Amino acid sequence: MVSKINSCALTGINGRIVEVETDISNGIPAFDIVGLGDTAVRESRERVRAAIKNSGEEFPVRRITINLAPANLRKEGSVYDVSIAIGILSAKGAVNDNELNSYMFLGELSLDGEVKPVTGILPMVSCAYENGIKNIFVPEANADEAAVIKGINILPVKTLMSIIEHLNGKKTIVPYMIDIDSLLISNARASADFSDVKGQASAKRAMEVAACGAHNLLMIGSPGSGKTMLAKRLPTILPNMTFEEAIEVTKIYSVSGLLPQKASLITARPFRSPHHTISDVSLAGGGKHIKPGEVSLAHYGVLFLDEFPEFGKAAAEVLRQPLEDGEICISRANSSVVYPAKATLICAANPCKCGFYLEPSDKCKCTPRMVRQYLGKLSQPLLDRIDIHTEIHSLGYDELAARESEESSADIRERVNKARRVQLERYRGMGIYSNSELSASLIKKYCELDRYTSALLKRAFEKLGLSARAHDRILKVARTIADMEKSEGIKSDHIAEAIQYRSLDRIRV
Amino acid sequence: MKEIEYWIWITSLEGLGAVKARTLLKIYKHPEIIYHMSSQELVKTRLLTDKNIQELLNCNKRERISEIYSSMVKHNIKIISIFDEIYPDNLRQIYDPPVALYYIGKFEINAFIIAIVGSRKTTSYGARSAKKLSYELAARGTRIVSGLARGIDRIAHEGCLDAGGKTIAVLGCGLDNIYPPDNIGLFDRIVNSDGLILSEYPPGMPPLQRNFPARNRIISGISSGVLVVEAAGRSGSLITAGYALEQGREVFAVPGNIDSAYSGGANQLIKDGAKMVLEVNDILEEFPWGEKIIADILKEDLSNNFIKQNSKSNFSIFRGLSTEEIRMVKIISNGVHHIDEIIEKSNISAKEANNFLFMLEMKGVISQLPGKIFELCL
Repeated sequence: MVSKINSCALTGINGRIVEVETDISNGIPAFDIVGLGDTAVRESRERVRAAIKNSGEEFPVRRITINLAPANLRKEGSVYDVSIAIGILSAKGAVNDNELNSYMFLGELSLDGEVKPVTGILPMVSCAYENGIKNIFVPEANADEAAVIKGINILPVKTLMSIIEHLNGKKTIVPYMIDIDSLLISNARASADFSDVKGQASAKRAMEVAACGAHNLLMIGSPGSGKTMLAKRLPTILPNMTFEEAIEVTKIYSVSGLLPQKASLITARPFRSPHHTISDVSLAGGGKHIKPGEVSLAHYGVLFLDEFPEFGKAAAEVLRQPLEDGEICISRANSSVVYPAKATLICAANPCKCGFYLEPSDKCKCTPRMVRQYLGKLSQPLLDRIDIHTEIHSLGYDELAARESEESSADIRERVNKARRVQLERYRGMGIYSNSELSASLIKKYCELDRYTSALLKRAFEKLGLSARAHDRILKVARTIADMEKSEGIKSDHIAEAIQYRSLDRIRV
Repeated sequence: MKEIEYWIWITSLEGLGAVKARTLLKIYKHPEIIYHMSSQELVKTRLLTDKNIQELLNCNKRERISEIYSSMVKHNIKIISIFDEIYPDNLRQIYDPPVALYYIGKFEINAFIIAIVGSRKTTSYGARSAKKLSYELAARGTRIVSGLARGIDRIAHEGCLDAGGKTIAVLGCGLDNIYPPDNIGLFDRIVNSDGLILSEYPPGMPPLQRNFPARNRIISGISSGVLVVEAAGRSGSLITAGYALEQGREVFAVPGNIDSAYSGGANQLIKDGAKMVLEVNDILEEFPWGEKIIADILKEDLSNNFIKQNSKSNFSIFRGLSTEEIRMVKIISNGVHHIDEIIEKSNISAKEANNFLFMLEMKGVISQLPGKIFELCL
């Protein structure tokens, strides 16, 4: 009397099929679970026993052995409760097990037989779909999240009883469906709007360029010049997420248990702004049960680091590798996990300790050495990964008062969406979605310059003393600016603007 | 003991000021005599405090001298005493000349020397004027002396070197220790171009705060005139100007905007009677006797030459300005402007502004300062 039931384990944001094997034999009554489970898995014995009893079934008083296969994979959490319970019921013949291997069971049980929600549903459903499983039982509270995957029957359940009834053909559960297209379009946004920001035309333009090509951006400005205000409004102009992007982001939030109740798909690009006291581990990801860090939670969205020089050295430097590779591999003693981390980094910094170095007045009391020291905290390797530098200027009262209407976020966003569509079209099937992800070889292919433009670029390098590493950054940003105008080739004015965004390469104290 | 060691000894005495040392030397003619004086003899001089005497009798003096001496050998530092013939006459005549000077480089100093001083923090205007004036003075054969500090000092030295001139730097610390360290490159450049680095302090003296005002009296002392380029209301440059007046040197100042905090001191000097400098001849005409040294060899206008050299544009594509660009230039022409201000005033988009400003910069018409601030070039 052995039964085999499908369930799912998580490694990173990917699922892996776990077979729950149940054997009931004669002998001294016992209930053992083997297969490298953690405490939550071991404790599921008590939940399963009570849940079966309280669902009106009899718990077999015999020798029960459960094996979670593959036995060498670590298993965590309470998601196996339902599959263990069904395994026992199937082994003792309480459920009709003709087609049990076309089903997957996910969910935690409470003592009274209720099925409770678990984290990581989306990657598990996606894994089930990829492995050809046709039906999947999910906790009712997770149904919206699971229904994002099409081509598999999502059966939301509230109690263990309803699973048994469905399997025995007594009361069929209707597969749950949602309309994904409407999800992607309905996009309620925050209350902040770019029209709140007076003046700052150059900074706004830089933000628009950054949003179009997902370029990393550094804002330098004195206190009160509006760096944070601008950054907070960046999400309102970020382009719509594609379905693939949304799935990936939702998977990350799903495994970290951060998906809001009743949410099915994260369709707004994430905006993460951790405080500068954050540790390197919470920025990169880690912990005993490895969880994604802020840089992964900002995947396809924005990671905003306000007061950047105040971040711990270790914390800032862990960003280097993920910013380059778009993913982060976290290794610990008992496992290693790869999380995607294609975040757009937005940093804000004061130009010096007191913050007034770039102001024309003599408010700044810092010595040149102090200024250098402060800017020196922005480490060169990290600066190399930032495409756009922009300086923000404080507005005088007259400027603040005189301004009338400013462009709204919706208008800017429309342009951003257009520019992003150009990129999506160009990079179709290449696994990249924006100009910021261009590799050196792709830059060569897509960022060709005519003779005049390359002469201009050469002269700029000579005259301004730009560093070699600025070269590729300038080309990528110029590509984005060209895309914003739907221009096939990169023209001189695109290059000109891109060079203006390399101001930190020239600041010499 | 060699003679030079006695001189090293007398400069290494803590608390013995230049005036007291000078007076002692006037009486006893040679440091060797002072070196061997007993405590009773020293008391009899009635010049010295107990502390001074203790310092003079310090039993470690031999070790200190040999330490300094070995450091001098190591760094190629030489010493010259006030009794030496090549000791600058100008300097000998001031109230408190250093009894000896340490130096690196070539000691030929009795030329026509102008000091250029200013604050460490400068505006682009100050930097430009310092460079231009230093360049032109040097090109006419003047030596430039300054303090090897950051800001105007550095620019003054560089301007002189650029013109192929010889420059003198007076330090406020021992010559084994270049302060500020960012000017080590400049230090080497000065030495390699037959320039001179001076200090009254023996090797091993750290850059103490009190050394710098004292150093300033040497800067003004060896020069015929002091030019203050940019100095705030309270600035070390004003101390130099004060010494210059005390020592009977000419004081010149470059005027700045009346509301510029960087020029407050310089403007005040002009108000108080310093000569306003608009061009290099404003300085030179004050020294008709210097003409022999200066000899106006260069007939063509150096100032024009200077501009030409600094804005070479042999690229035909960068010639000529569009109407839009001319409009931008007009907006920028009165002072410095942040890019947002320019966008506002010219009523064009940020994109266009970025583009025009970049092209103007490439054409050498404007330059960009830190903080996306633009100004017109010379």
